[in-house]
Amino acid sequence: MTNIDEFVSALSSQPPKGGENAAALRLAIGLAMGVAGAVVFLVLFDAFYGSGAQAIDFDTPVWKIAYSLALAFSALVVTLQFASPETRTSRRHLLAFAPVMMMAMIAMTELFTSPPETWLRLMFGYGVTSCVTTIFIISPPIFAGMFWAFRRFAATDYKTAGAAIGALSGAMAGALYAAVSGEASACFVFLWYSVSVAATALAGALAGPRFLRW
Amino acid sequence: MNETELANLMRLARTGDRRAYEELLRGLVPVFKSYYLRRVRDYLVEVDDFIQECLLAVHQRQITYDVTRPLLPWVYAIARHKLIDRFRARKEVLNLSDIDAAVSGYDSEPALSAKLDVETLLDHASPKQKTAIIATKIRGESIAEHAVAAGVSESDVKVSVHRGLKALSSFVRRKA
Repeated sequence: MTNIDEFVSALSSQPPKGGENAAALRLAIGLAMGVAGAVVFLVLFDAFYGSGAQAIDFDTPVWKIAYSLALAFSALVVTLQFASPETRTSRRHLLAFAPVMMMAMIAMTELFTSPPETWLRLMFGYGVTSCVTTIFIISPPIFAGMFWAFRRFAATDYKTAGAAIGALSGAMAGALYAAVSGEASACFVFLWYSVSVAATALAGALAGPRFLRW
Repeated sequence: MNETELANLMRLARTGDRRAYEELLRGLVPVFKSYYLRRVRDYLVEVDDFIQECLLAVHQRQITYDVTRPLLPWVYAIARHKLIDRFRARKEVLNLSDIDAAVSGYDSEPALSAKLDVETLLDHASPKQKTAIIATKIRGESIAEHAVAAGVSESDVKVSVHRGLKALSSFVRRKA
């Protein structure tokens, strides 16, 4: 018996489990674990440093959370596209620009219908630093959940897949932060949530080659 | 083993069929072997390593295979990734003068799709006609050579090829 014969026999003693939806299930578990971890991080971060978080305010504008979730959905589509080894030409990643463009239009409308002396307040709100920092600090559990899911996936473009995971992590962290943040300006959300997602995407692109190699 | 047989084995393996899974992995060995033998002539001793790495990747990452798509492009994507990864790890570069040789055997996706189309089409001929067409029209053997190899008369081969091609053309006309 050759080495390969022995190897095949050893592998085939454990046939695959999980059926057709195993990939989606694994991704959902990774994401759910990550989001749960991010909630814990948010509570701890707020308890120790104060993130500007408030009790969940049901008057919080829904569009704030919707913007983050739309970004997360776009990032999820791109993430799935790069989870398989096959190169597929698709323009799905352009989806990510749809919520950004829409939010940019809302922000511009808000800005130009407000008196100029309020513009700085609209753009910088009451806590730019706490917004960007909190989103960046609570996103690692989502990164970890997604990297765990990718241990059974087969990304070949590590940087892009990492960036997509980073954007997804940042956007989901943004959705959590949006539920507890008091900022209600569209300009603020557009600028700083987008910057936070871009920062986590950059972190993901840097981490990808290290954690996604197989 | 062709695309259809391998894809069916993968579907069965995913239901936990151990025998189908073993057959699939054994069926993939020659696929990986021919892929690497064409590409790593300088590292022939490593072909077995490459094959084992690819089999392990298939084993660990089979959930990324989408059953609605052909299996072989997914398999070749794994083989290609492992090859590139090995070159990347060694920081090897390819001289531009070697590039023609390096890409000559490359299974581009259009070429692979065409190959799969031919395989699917040939499934509409009888096994005997299919073998005769593959040998004489695809591999380029002469009628006499194939007759000797298959242990049949030359006129038998000619009739098989003729009837097979006729069946395929009428199938294509019906589809069109």
